[in-house]
Amino acid sequence: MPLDGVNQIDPSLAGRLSTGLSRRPTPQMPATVLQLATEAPVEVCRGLLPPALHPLNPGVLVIMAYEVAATAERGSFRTVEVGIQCRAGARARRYVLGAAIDDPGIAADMEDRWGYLSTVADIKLDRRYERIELTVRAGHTVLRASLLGPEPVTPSTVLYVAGLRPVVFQGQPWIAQFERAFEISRADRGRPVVSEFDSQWWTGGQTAGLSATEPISGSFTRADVTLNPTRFVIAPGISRAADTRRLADVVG
Amino acid sequence: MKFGLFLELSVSRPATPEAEARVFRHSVEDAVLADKLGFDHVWVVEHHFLAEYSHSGAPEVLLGALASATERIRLGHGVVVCVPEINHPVRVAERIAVLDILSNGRVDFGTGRSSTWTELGGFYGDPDRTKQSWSEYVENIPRMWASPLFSHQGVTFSVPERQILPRPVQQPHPPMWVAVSSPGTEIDAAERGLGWLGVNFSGYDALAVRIQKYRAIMDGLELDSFRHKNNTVYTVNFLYCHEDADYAAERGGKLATEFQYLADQNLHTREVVVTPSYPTLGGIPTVAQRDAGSEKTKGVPEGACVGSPDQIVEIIERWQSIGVDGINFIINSAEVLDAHEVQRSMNLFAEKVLPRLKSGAVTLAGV
Repeated sequence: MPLDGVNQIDPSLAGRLSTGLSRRPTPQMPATVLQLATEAPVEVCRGLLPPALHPLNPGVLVIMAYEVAATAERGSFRTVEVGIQCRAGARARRYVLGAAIDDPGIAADMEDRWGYLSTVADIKLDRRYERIELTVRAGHTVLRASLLGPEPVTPSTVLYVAGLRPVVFQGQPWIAQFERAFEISRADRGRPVVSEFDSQWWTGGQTAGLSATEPISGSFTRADVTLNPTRFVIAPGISRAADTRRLADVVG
Repeated sequence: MKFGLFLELSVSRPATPEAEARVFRHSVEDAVLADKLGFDHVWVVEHHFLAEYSHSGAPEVLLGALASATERIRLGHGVVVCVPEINHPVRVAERIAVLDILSNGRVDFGTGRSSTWTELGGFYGDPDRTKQSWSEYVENIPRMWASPLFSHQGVTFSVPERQILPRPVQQPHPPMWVAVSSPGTEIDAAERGLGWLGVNFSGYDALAVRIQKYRAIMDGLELDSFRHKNNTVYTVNFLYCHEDADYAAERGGKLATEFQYLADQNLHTREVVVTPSYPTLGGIPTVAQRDAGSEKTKGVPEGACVGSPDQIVEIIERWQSIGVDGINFIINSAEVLDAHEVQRSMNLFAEKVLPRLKSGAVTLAGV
């Protein structure tokens, strides 16, 4: 019996993938990137994934934050996304459930050009010798998490998997692949700790049950980040083997 | 050329007690049949928490049953996860020895370190230390069997002076193997005199290069007298043998696809843990990475032993030509194939393929 996701995409939680899509990658943005992975309840993860994606055993919650430096073309901004690790066919992917950006202009641009839906929030990424601390506030604290005891590692040990986002395109729900390229120049790893997590906020009210259970691993890198154009979309309702298509073919 | 079975004990959801019992019963029946048909090995894997993919959490118990139920086939305990949080090395030495006694010296001892976070994390194992613990196990377990008194102060385990009992029948010890998936592990194997127990799927060309490196080191290796050198390369493969090649491709494709699907649920250490200890995904689920552009039937990876007897002979000859000494077959996955058709496939393989490859008089298919 397939262990597929069971969630139908709620259009109100999906970005609009418009015809104003980005067809070129952004210029490289110098950034610092925090990624924290913890275990999460597998049945809750399954309940959040569309049928085209299947959960892993155990469930994995991934928090990813990056702070773009002031020297970037659009200036400094911070973004945080929360997702669950999954598979699309045989491929490792992360299904992004919710995202926050601290710059309204960037948030609007991200939805226009990538169908990337986010909420504007206050984001703080504080670096200390003993920890990197991330806080997201949207009226109240919706996330507080840390990377404890950062220690240097070879950059190639850090792996970022491509993200997937629910989108509405040509009136239909799709899952869009959100591709970023990271050129990592420095990396640290450490132990992730999630001390506050508002499941309802990050899942758009879908569940109060998503939580960080056992810590797995975390990293903090200095990297040049490029956002690439959307190339692939997946039909969300087809189970087992993901029906991945080139966006250009869908557009016709 | 030698041939074995790889029993994964995969159970489809929902894994009712009845379904689990049926898979175990069929696995015993397949091993008994393999014993009668002339297969050389039956391997029972060790996995923990891998729902659907493998319910083989206590392979030593199943192997004990197979020691009684079979007469001549060798019993592969493998691979034993050489991580202290999962298996203490003294307990491993004891279990292998008892099994060797009960089977009259038919045990092969496979070693490994687990590639999934599902398993390592479940025991709070430390991914950074699994290479070290594996190396320390394979170095010291033969010493446990060879020394009247054993003691060890080590990095991943320590043992005060004790007698490790009982001792295996085979001398100096049962053949030892290591699961090889990530590139480089074959070097670790050769440097320690261990047999290469392939546990993932790769194309011919990639494997040929790695085998050459393995042989080069192994050929020049000298071991202490209490160590046995196992200069042998086994790969893993699917088996579906049928007179009708198209039918075989359809059924074998179903087997391969199911196996891949089950493997995809497992969370690989490399995917979530920032550690230099796991540079690649490792493990078996690399069917999807088969060589692009190779001639293959849909759903069946390159080099899979799926087809008519003539086709399978041809495929095995090609594996043999690059230096492979044996192949372990996955014959079913979560009972996606009917138990009777699995045994029909095994019988046909034994009748039409084995004699042509065992005799040494290898002929090309169709000639």
